[in-house]
Amino acid sequence: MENIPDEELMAFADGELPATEHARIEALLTSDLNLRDRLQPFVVSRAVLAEAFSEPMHLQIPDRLIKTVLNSPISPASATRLPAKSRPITRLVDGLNDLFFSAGPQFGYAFAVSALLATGAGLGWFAAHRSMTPGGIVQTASLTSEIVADPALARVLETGPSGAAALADGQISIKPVLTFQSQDGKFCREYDLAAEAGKHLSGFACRQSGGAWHVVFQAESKAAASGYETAGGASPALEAAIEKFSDGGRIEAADEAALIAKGWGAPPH
Amino acid sequence: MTENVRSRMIEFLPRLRRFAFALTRNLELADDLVQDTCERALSRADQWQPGTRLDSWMYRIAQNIWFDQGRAAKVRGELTDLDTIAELSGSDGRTVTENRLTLKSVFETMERLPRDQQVLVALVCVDGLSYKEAAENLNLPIGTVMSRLARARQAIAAAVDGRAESKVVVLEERRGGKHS
Repeated sequence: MENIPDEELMAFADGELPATEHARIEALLTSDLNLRDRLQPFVVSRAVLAEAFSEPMHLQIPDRLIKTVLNSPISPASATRLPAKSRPITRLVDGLNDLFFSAGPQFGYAFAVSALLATGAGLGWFAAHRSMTPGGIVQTASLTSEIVADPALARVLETGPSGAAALADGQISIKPVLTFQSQDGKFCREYDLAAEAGKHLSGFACRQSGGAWHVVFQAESKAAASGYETAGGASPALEAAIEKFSDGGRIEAADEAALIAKGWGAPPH
Repeated sequence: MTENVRSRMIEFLPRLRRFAFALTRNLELADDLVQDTCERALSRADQWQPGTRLDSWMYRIAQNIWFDQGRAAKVRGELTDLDTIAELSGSDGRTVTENRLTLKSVFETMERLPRDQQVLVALVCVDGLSYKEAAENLNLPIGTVMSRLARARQAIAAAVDGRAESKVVVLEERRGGKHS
């Protein structure tokens, strides 16, 4: 009698054998009772297993899973195109100044001179250079430089209502301040960041069509050595940047809540 | 492209949940695993090659998370959903009992299998991937996949078969005393 290995019998049961081999086993099975007995476990196991775990196919998908798929930060498609510029920063505790800007080796940070920002001239939206002022650092970056928000920041911007602070990594407080629409129709949110050290940054980021949040502008808001901030408020540079960028109005709380609830109008519809 | 990924993920969710359920034997844990898998997949969406299979890629992510979670889950003590499933099995008491015992045997046997065999069972017998696809997912030679899968299925069939009539009787006697 021919010795057919278990694996081959299993492959027969699963329909994985080539036609000629399948036919050969089939013929053997008509006369070989022992072979039939050995085939049985593979037929039974497949049927039983398929049935045993079928339940999720009949259950409604929970909202939380849908929301996760619609709202989780996505790695930018541009990451492969512009690796140096769009690498997200993943470590929140490395220091606030480094936080929300990608630091590719040849890219450096996108900084603009604070004096330029303060006057509203040469806002440097498309600048990919760095320069620093002696006092506080004013940073800006353009959409074209694709500065990807840290995942924690993106998460808060994506899901958090304005005015509510969320703690990231137990150290940095992230608070969306307000929501507005950019002139090219993107949803943008101003935010404040505060670390334990008393260091504050504020800025704004805009949501890209793919769901990624790109930081457009970010600056220290309460750096003691710098003269550009107003007490307790956004720096004039930030206000100027938002004014330049927004379509003029701000989105009210109810509309903002609706946008958040439907994932900023993200497809699929 | 990215929105395309999200909508394809949503279409894939039922199968991913079933796969996760086969690994965790618990609906709540399965959904946690699905959620973690989707988050990780989206955060690495740039690593997925459009044109290749999204399901295989996400199964790989899910199984890796599940492998990582293995030790912690063991310590916590995993729960299974036999009660939930029993409710779905019908109103006839005997059928419920038998189905439940069969499921219990399947779940318990799965639990005892090495983790890579559990994944193989879930990929091939629950989801219906081919041996070749399962082999690619686990980075194993197809011969290895077939021999491990055969052993796992023999164990499961033996457990289902081995829970003989006597056990049904025992359980039904107990039920009479305890439940009704």
